Amino acid sequence: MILVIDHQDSFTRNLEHLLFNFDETLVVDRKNVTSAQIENAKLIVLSPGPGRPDDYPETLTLYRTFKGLKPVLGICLGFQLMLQEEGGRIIRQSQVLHGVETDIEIIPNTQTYKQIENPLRVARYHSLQVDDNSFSLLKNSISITGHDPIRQVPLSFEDLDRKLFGLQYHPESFLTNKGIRIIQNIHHACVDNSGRTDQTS
Amino acid sequence: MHAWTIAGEPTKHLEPWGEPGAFSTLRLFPNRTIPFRAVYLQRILDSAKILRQPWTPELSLLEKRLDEYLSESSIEEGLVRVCLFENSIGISDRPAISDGKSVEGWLLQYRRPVPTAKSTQEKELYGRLSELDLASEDWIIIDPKDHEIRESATCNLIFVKEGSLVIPEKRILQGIVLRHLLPALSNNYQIIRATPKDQDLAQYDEILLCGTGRGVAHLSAIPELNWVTNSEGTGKNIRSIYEQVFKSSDA
Repeated sequence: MILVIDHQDSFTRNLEHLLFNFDETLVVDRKNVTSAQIENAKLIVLSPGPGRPDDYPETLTLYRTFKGLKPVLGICLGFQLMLQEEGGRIIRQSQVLHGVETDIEIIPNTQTYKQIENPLRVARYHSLQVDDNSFSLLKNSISITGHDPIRQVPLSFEDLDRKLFGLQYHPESFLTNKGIRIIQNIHHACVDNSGRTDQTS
Repeated sequence: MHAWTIAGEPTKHLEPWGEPGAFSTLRLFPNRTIPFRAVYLQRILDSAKILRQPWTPELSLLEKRLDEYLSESSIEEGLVRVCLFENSIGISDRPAISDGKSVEGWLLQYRRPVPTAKSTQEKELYGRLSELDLASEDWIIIDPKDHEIRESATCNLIFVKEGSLVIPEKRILQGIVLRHLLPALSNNYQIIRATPKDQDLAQYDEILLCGTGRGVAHLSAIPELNWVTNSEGTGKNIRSIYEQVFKSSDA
């Protein structure tokens, strides 16, 4: 089961629809998540949402409890929330990008972008970003796998040791090329062929 | 921050955005005067009725809770937000950091589900305010379908064109500040009630924001539309009208 921790975002239903291609998907408001739901999840997805990571203390607390124990994928706000919790700083982007398609630079041989060509066109909807000057504060196991080459904004990361993945853009948007393939790559890394969750710690 | 249940017991103030409820933000001026206080509180009750909330108390109860809050708070001036949730009343305050300051606008594609009510459930709108520096920025709401620019996340908009004022009227939440300014503005300016679209903005000399937190403030630019203000005269004049209206109001 894929557990989506929801932050009441308009994109959540599209995301649920996308994830349903890979497994049964349960969407739960971040205030109502139970330990049984976390226990049963093979992949936990932190949804997009309005605002800043600090607006969601419940999710920050949850993330601290299951990171390293469960595979996690953060999207947009979820991406920022994970990297903030890992030591990164969230800052205002020089330009708000709402509903904008941009070509981003990716590292093709990473788990996230297997069989995907560089550059990649993606849909972006964010006013905040992770400060690339704060990367030195992140664990060495975290690698940035995609970025905006013009504005120097990090846009995806993966940590294969702890099965943590993050996408600043929206894979569930029809404006993102290869959104299904990206989720397939991440899902495959988190769950083995028999449906058993890989041990992450 | 305080909250009370329907029975009047103290309770935890809910995180408002995304929660069913109606709200309004009142301006507390020095000496603890709140212009149009009863109008603001009545607006909450009106919104609650429009939103069909299960509990709508008497105006006197909101008055009582606000008095109680202010008697226990040390705030001398600022903004006081009153939320009427389904099972509780919550009140909080914050400094008025944006009063009169020039603001840069960023576009937010959004359509209010119920434009005439001020609803805490609009998390997609109000929850995004924390992404901005509110002292100098605001979300300019653009309708995703017809590209009309009707209001900002915190204010009504006044568009200035060759000395005339174009003020959106349809599908907006007409704020209490604008409502009380309109009579004075109509004595000084030609007012046209219409809603500009994004492609029309180039013809406007100034755009003003008009609301409780900002009072009357200039919009300096909307970078995404390449719009930059090219005048300040009308805004300064309307700001002085605003100060006269609010300072002379009977709190």
